Amino acid sequence: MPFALAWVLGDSMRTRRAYFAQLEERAARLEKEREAQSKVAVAAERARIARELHDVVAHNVSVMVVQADGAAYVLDTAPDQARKALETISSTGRQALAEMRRLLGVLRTGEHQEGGEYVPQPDVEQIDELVEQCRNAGLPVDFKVEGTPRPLPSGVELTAYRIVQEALTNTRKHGGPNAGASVRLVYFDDGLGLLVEDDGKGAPHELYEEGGADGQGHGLIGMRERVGMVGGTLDAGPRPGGGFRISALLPLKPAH
Amino acid sequence: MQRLYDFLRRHPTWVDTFWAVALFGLSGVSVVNLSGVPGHHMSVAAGMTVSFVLCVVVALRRRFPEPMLLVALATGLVQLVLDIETTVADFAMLVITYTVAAVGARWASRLALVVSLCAAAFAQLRW
Repeated sequence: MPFALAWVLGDSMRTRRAYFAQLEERAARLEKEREAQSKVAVAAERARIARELHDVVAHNVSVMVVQADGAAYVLDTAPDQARKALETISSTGRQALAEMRRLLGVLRTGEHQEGGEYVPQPDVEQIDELVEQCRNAGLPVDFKVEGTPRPLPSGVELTAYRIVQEALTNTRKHGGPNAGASVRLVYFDDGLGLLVEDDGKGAPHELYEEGGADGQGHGLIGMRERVGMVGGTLDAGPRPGGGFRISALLPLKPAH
Repeated sequence: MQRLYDFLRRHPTWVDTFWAVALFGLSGVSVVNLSGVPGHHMSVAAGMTVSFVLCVVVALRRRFPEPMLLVALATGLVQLVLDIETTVADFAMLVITYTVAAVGARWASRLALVVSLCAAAFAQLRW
């Protein structure tokens, strides 16, 4: 009897140790997973910030540069036009500042700021203003909306705006002086279709295939990331007959 | 107290050696007392040798559980064969059974259970 009792006590101690070892191993594994998830989240947030910074700075600074060049060219011969260009530069710079402040506000507090000196996130309704801005900067843009416009998830609207913004910026950068662009928005039952194309010189293939010399193709990379995050598809490449074409399909229900 | 507890946890062999020495002392006293009692025929030398071996088993049980089990079983067999009566040091048999069940290999744990139950029965019959 005493031997049986000693054995039972020892065996139950073994079982208890094994259980605690399992708990420790599980806790260590969960801690590792948590760290890995945290790293992934940090990387995703950094990528998001990089995309937003690029989209805000690239487009607005590009408009300012074009306007400044134009103003310098016509300063003596057409001072009124030069004045208009300078006003555009001023308003574009202010818009860029406001968007940068919104982004910095999010970075500092981790929350989206409502009102105050920050502008809300852009959406599909502001594509009209964006197109008008490009027209004022000297790029002819044909803008059409098909289907019944309706409110979409904010992630989809922001993605659509950024795609159009980046596409038009690229047309100005690479399309040449005689390029014209067209923007089509199509509201489907289950998503939003976008088609932005131009008839310019088109970008060198290095820029849209695997990064390149100019900004290393960050605009297209950012577009693909944004579209991927909302579960959509993006197609970017030379247009038959010349120019460049970007088409995207953004589903109504975001991926996450 | 916490520091002492932590020290003892980090040095299990020292703890076991302390208990082994205490057990040897108690066993020595009982062997010497029993040797002069009529009806008990165990020699002091045999009794002390067996006690010493069993105390070494207690001292090294956690470092070498399976070898110490085999030493304990062999000592028990020698006791049965040579008619060396059980002493206080035979408490080591319970200790090594517990130790092997807690930290030893599975085969040693089963062996300890089976042999200790059989040996206990044999010891009852013998003495």
